[in-house]
Amino acid sequence: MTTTGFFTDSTLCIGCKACEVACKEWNDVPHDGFLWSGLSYDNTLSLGHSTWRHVKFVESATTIGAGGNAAEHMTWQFSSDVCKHCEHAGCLEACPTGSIIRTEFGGVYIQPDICNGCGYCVVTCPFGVVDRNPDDGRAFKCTFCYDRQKAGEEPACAKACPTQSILFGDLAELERVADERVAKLHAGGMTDASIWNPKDSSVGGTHAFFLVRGDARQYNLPSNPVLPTTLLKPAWSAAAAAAGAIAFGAVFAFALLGRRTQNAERRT
Amino acid sequence: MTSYHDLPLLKPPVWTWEVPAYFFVGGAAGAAAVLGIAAQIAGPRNEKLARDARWIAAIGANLSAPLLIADLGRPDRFLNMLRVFKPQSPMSVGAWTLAVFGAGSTAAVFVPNKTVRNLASLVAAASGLVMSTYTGVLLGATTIPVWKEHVDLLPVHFGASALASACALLELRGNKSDALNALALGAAIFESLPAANVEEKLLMRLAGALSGPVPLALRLFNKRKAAAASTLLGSLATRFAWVEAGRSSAKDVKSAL
Repeated sequence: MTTTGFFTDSTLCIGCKACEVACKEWNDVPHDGFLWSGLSYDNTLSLGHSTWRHVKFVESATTIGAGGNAAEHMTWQFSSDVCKHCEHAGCLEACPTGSIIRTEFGGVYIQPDICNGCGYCVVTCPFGVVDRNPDDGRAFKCTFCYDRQKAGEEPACAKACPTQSILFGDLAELERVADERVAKLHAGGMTDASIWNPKDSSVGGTHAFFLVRGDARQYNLPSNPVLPTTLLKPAWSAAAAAAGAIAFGAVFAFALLGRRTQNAERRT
Repeated sequence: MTSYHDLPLLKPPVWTWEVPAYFFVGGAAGAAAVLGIAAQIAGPRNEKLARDARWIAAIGANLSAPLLIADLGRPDRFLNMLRVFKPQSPMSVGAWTLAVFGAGSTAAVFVPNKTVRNLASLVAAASGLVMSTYTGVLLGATTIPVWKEHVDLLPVHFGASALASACALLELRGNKSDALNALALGAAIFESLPAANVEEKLLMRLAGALSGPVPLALRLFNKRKAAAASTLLGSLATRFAWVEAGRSSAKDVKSAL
């Protein structure tokens, strides 16, 4: 099986949220409540148990010369966020039930019939993607439309995207397409365009990667995500040191002081 | 530095009160099993203390499982915790450790055969060492900034807190022992170090005071039971303070990016 990926190009996104709607329709994802956030056109605010695709509306100072903006106008960029389907996934490694698995397409998938809602994936995802549904009790996130992929179909969001901002396909092929796209944008003068894919971090790259403009952090895309499993060595070393101290402390304390009390009482 | 509308990147822990309560109960029970074996080795003089310690371990273990099950989103699926064993998941290691510790500590008080009971006590003590420290690993090996920044501290901090609370429970059961006092003093000294108190928030300050300087001073004036009571409250508050610290730390988008 080929490893598939998402390449989301924010320079093509028009903020229509068709991906969000298609995802909800196909996957039967519950509503997010009816909240007017006042933050640009974004009323869902983040990925979560009821939002598996999320269109961000990034407002920032303009870069003159690209996109036809005048200096007095801010830029308005859109980007459809999604589970990153990490090469080394924190949620998958932390899941104690084996509910979270790597599919034959390389995606990260929560098996809903096994998840018992322990919530550990929530705090081990470097991107704040996985979330527990308080009504249902289980953890949910983008399934990479595992069911559709098994049937040879592309995920619902990519299918619905009217501008091909969301591309789905063979991961290696998409990475080539993305590099070409960046080169083309740079040649056209949009020099702040770049690919966000943390290949040099402990996450080891993501199967869903993004083309963004300017600082990726304004899209809440972290520059150096940390895979929690890399912290196991210092954590267990500290635990072993503490356990050793407790064991030796207890044995010595009773061996020395336990007997002294005994002798003292014998003398009296 | 820029972020997306200053919205948090990370999700806060979804754990309810049962989880920090379990950190306290499981930690104290685990350390009690260790104290029980150590007292038993030291001689028959400590027989009552060792028996009390075994009971504390067994009761704590049997309180721990219901606490953890109650926190699950799907409590009826708790057995899925033992569906696989994953050394790379501290939660999986913890679930298996609790299963072994529960069996060992319970057998150590209920099995009629003395040899089997002693073996069970050994199993309980070995898994008890993990019980009293692994919860620090569980918090440290995550993406929550305040937890992962203290990944070296948390297992030691929670271990010291567990040891202190086990000593405290035994003292409150009426065991007057210089060994317990010495161990509790050691833990109180560690808990008084500035390294163990990282947050300015009231709950962590309170937890730190009740675990460190207060019992330390009380023990120097030989008020052991008062020190024990303070330690227990401090140990419980410590776990709640750290889970709470994680909750607010998850909102800090600047540290997460």
